[in-house]
Amino acid sequence: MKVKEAKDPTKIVGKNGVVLRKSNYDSEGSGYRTYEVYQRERVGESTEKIKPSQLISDSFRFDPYPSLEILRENYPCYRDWLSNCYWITRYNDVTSIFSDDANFETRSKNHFLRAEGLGKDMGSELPVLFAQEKSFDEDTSRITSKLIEELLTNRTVDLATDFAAVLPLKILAEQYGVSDEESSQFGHRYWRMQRGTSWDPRLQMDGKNAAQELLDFFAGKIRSGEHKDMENCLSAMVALGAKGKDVVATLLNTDHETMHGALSNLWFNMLTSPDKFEKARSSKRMLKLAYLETLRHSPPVLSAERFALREIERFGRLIPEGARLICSAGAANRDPRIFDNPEEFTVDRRDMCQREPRGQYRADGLASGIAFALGRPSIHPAVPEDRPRSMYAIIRDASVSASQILIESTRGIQLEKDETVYLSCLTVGEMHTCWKLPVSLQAG
Amino acid sequence: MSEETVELGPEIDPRIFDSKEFQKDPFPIYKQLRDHHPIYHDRFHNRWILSRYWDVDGAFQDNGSYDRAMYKADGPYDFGSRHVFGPNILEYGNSDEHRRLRNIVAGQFVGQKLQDFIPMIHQISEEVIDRFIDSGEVEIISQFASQVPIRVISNMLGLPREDEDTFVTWYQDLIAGLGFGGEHLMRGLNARNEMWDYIDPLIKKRSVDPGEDLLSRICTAEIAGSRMSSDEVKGFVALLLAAGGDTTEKAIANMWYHLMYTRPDQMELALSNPDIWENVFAEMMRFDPVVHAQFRYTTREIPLYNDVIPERAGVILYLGAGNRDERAFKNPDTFDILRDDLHMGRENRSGRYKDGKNGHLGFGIGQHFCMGYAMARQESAIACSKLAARVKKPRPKNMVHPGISSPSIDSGGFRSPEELIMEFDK
Repeated sequence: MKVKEAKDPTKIVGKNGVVLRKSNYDSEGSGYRTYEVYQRERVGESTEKIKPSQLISDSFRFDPYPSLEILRENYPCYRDWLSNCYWITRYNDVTSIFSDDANFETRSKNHFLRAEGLGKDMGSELPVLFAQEKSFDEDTSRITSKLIEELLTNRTVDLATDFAAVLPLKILAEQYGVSDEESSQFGHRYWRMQRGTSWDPRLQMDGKNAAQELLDFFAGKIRSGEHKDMENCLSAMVALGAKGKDVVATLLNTDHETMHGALSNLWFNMLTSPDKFEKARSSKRMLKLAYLETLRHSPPVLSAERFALREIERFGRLIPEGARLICSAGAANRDPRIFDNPEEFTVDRRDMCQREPRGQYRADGLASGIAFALGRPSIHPAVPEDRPRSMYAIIRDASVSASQILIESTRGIQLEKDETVYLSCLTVGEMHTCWKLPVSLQAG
Repeated sequence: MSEETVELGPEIDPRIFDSKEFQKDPFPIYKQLRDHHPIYHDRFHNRWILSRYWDVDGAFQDNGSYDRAMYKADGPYDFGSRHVFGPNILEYGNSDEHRRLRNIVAGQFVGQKLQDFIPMIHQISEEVIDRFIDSGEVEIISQFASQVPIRVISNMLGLPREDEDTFVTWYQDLIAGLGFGGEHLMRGLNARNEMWDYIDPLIKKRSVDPGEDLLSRICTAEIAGSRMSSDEVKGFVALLLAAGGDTTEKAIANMWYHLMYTRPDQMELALSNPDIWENVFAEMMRFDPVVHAQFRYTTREIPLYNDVIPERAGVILYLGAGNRDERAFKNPDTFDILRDDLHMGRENRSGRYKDGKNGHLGFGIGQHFCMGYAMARQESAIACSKLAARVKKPRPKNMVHPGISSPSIDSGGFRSPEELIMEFDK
């Protein structure tokens, strides 16, 4: 006789046994509260469990999760006097900030690079978006196959630097009409320009120089009319009247970090857990789930900044106008209020949204992993016919396709023995990813 | 403020500001800031830095552009609940409320009211010196510098003298609580709460039955019919203990440090001339003041040196750097109590003096100019001249000294040596 399971009051379970929500909204704030303020500032609150210097330390650069857990579980809106910011670390709090354009603003990368002469970011123009979607969908397979063919000539390959880091740049080069001969230099300049948005003034200076070099490069390209024979992002932009400075501004605000970091972290997670790898490689769907779980479990972009547009009370604190909020994906994506066993990399996780969230960070009643660089969830309730898919979906599909091709073209991908691999940020605040992942590859 | 073109120099890694190296010797970085980055955007700490004398001076004077308060002073909030001192004027920015509170108390520390306290400062200094004068050696910080100010303050407030050691513990914890580390905040809040419990009955008593002491005066002082509330009095007493106690303690220690180690050749002059201690005080406040930085928040976009500080940005005014600006002082890195380009007399909030000389920035300038400036100067000069008169052939016990340093970034506090032992003939 089948025994009816006792109802767990802490969970709300939907059809097919999927956990829809951990609990009803309760006084501890585990529910979804976008604009709700749940407590006033607490007199005498102390933060002795953490020192702000921990959040900029070397150990944080390698493994930020223990410190983030302290923040999330004890000080969900932590006033960091050292870095002059507020750390927001719970899932519901982070997503509520992202959904609140009226009170919190995003600043573009132009603001951080502070380079002179940059133009307009044309990344949201429809023709550019269509060109991008077309390139990712049509070029990814070809570029990946060619890259793997080259890699197979070596006995040992570093998947982090030779594959994950190179592929997005090669696709980008294709989209901007950069020839094979120019692509290495282009990739170098692009990488330097992106790092120029860092807090490090030396990187910033180098980034500005790289932006100028790219500006000269694209101005020359446009002048020579090369783009006229092309059908890509560059030609789409020039058709809209773009100058070199607009192309560079668009490039600056183009994300490569998520594809690079997610690919690297996906392969890191799979290769360090052979059983998970077996499961992930069993089908393309499983590989897609492993990719989504990677963005949740080990997001390459650990946090995103938002700035308070006005003095506002949130999460029991009075946040002053102009305050910088560090919205932490690393902490929010491991919030036990949202995900079961959040520290675990689970390929077919059942309490996470398995498709692109629309209009909010949840779909099907489930939370999604927050991946900032992919942008906020599409505001469209369904994919309209006259618009391309969101970057979230495009990058996901491209990354999964590329990984699938790598799996199909090779056999026995294994980590080199005696190699210690780990995730880290190059400097505090930069991408948290695997920078060294040596494997032996054999053609399949 | 200057609009000159600045030649960019080597970039400064903003992590240097958290280093022990900077806490100990910030002056090479200050020079780099002044010369090559007079407006420095420190993205690592999310703030801007001004370091040249006239830029710091200009920001202090410009209340319309630079606000002291993080929050809007007219917001519907309970101020001070999270501040380690409790509600106090530091939280009220440039508002009318700040002016009201300041006007109530500011008059208590200048003019005749200050003169009334002078004999007591003399007496307390002598009493403290009596304790060690026969030993031939004094650790200046613990046996002298930390003993005088707190006794002066508790005496001014009319508090029981047997509790003075407790006040020292409280003010040290209150000051540490201003730092970044949470455990220091907890210590500070505990000290504040203990002090409030201690002082509450005294406030009630003196509000209805005032005496001649400062606490009675503050409880009953009125400006346009307005008195301080009980919480405001408590917040002010915490501020007075911490800001008036610790800063003067460190000032006295630093004055002796510089004469013992930085300019021993000027020690003889200071020993033979009691009036010169006012110069020692002024030069110490220029050369390496107790407080090196003040924070402000911009109220509008500030164009400066071909850059723009955005609205509501945090700005550090490095008065420690401004004081060493070659644009304001000759040979700024030389400690010289006879310097002829520094206003050595009493400071004022305008920072402009009839002798045409520049003043030090150590007390700030403008609306938030240190209220206790005259008290600190008198107290330091009197205590030091008393000690100088009593000791024979004073000399450092250790020929090598680790020097003055700021405390670690986790705790609040002021610059001073950790230990300063002086020997003298009995």
